[in-house]
Amino acid sequence: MRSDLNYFDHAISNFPDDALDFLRPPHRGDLKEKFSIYANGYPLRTQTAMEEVFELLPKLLGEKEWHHLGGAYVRLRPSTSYSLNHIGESFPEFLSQMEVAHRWIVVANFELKIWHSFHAYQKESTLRSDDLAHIDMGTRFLFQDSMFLFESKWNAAETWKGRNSRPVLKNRKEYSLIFRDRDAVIVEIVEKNSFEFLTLLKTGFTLGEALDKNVMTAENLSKTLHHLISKEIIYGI
Amino acid sequence: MKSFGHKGVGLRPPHYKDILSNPSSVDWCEVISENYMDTGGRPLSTLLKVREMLPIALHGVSLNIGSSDVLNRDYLKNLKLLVEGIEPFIVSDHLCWTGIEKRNWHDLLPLPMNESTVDSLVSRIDQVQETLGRRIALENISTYVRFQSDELDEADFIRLVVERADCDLLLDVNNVFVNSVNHNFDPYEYLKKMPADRVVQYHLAGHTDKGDFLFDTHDAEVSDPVWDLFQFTWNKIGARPFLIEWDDKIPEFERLVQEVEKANEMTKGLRAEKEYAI
Ligand SMILES: [Fe+2]
Repeated sequence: MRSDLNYFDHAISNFPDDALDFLRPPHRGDLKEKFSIYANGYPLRTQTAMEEVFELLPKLLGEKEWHHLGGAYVRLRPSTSYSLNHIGESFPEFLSQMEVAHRWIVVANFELKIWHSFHAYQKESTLRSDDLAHIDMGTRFLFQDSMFLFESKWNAAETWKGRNSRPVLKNRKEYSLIFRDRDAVIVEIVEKNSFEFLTLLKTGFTLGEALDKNVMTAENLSKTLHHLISKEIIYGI
Repeated sequence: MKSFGHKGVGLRPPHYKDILSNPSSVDWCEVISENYMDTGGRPLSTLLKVREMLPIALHGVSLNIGSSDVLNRDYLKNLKLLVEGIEPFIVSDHLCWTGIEKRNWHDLLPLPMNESTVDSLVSRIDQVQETLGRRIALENISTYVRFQSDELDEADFIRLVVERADCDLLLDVNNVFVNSVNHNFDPYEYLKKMPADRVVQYHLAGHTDKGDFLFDTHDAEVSDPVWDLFQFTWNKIGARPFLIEWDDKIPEFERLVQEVEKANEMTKGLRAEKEYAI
């Protein structure tokens, strides 16, 4: 049995060059045409699945370049996962090997973060707004796995937010916060100061340590902490 | 388990809102297991809400039961977690392989139908049922090619597997018809050979006529010869939960429910000699 499956597997990868003599001639029609259902199905399905992960990148690259790069990726990196959900995982890394312009790798990485945020398991938050009173300089925060901070020289977040209306990527420094509000992924563009502050807290620094390294006004601090609690971006302290 | 009606749909994301706002339009739903594994996002939260209202069947596409690779333990572990969370009334996958040497073609590929495949399947199905702690059902697939090494006809092959492995059968009536055209056999004789006491569910779907063969596209309404076969099946094998699979050019939910109702109407007045107790 092993050899039949090996022949079949090889013939899919190598289509249309392999001999199909391990298969019976059909009672009507052409064997190669029938086998093409299997051989052509894989790139079609994987490309569709890729477009569920990467919504913006195909629009920026244009259809021709997207199919060239996406097609090469699914051909050269056959899926080893049981789920098509994981199909895009190594696409950014593949793009860097292909030496494509750095901005496309930035966008691919950004969209993968969105995808991870969408699928992350949310923990039940135990925090209420009243808990702000219990926060002191020694407090450390527990962030949801759906929360990401993204920094780039390209305005990937802004472009992603406008992805349904002729998006154009610009060379503009940008800081963004990605989180989930119930089932929806939210992207917020934030100030450099807030971004660095959140990065410190997420890395495990206490509030006091983060404020030592990153000065914030009392008003901005209270607004930020309130946002983290009310949107359940942090689930505990 | 409480008994419920037979009318089901394959639940797909475009219909999430419809099913949540009108769960009584069907009696149960089937979902693709892999879409709800390794995710804590919208798909799973929706499924948990639907589960509060309707019985669920889990239908997998990547068990890879016919492969020569060792069974994927990670996959089985995550499937088991999903089964424990959802408590489905049926857990099923396909009588096929999807890849070897760790590759996954994400397709339902045909198996050589001979004794050595049956032996391998029987031992692997046993391991899966042991791991999950429950019976599974396997579905007959549509195929476009046959192996030189085939020794059994498809109906005998399926019967042998489910009886020797002691598992259940998800009978896809459209797939029987598609294969009968593609491989030139009598679908009624095929259905007569199916082990009725193993059949736990029916699938119905649309296909596309490609001239020389039928392509199982799940993108249209059920065709007339498949409706005839469905009625024959209902009489011969009995009443079972059935559903319409519609995976491409997915219509409005109302249109899908109409198709389910059409199937339901067709079963009225039929003999259904062996009622299946859920
Ligand atoms: Fe099916």
